[in-house]
Amino acid sequence: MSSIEKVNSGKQRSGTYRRDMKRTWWTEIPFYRWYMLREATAIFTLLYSINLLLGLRALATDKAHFLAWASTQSHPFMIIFAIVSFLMVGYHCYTWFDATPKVMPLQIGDKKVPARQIILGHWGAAIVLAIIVLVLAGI
Amino acid sequence: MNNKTTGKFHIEPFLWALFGNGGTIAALIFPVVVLLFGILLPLGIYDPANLYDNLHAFYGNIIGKLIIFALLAFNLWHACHRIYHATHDFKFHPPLWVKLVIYGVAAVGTLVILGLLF
Repeated sequence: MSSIEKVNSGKQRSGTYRRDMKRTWWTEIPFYRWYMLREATAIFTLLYSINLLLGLRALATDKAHFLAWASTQSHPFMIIFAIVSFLMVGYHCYTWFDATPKVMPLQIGDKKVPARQIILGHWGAAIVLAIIVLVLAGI
Repeated sequence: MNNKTTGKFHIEPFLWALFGNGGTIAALIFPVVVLLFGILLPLGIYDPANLYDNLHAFYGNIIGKLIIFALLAFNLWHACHRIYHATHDFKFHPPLWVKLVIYGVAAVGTLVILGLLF
């Protein structure tokens, strides 16, 4: 349906020109493709969270259930799923930290904190948290 | 929150707040969690029985419970928010029930997590 047909049929509010956009618009340039990849990380965040939810249920039940859940993580399918999830979550992490100074610019006194420092600060926090988690899990 | 000019109530700022919190938590701590359970545990770097003992102690502690809740629940809200908005990116402009179903996954998940923790 063309723009003028949309107006005539009442599907568009005004006669202002609107460029028709295909469903595949995001395949056109790398910037859009990276955007869609970033949005797609959510699928893996959701699926992996569901996997962890099952792990939490096993943890809440008893040791035998938790060990059974832990052994399912070694299934080749689950390892591939985990590697892809790790890469996707890592990509989310990279894009999120990059966007943080734009979404939440930080000012101390009258001086604006440089974007680079905000980004590096988040990476620093993520690395410190990672070390804490890995150490506490293995004590 | 009410729009300043129209006075109309909008749910979006609340959903965005959940999305924003979830995104930050997912970025700060989710990669290492996936690494731990998905890669290091199957590689045999962690002993499952010992990991159970540590996690069970963490789960038994109120601060541990709050951390588990924050990680899992906000992740769900973050992911569902992006998945819903992706429907618009793909030029589907779905009716309200689709939005309710997608955010419903996060809402039900949150209740399940609360049930398992408390």
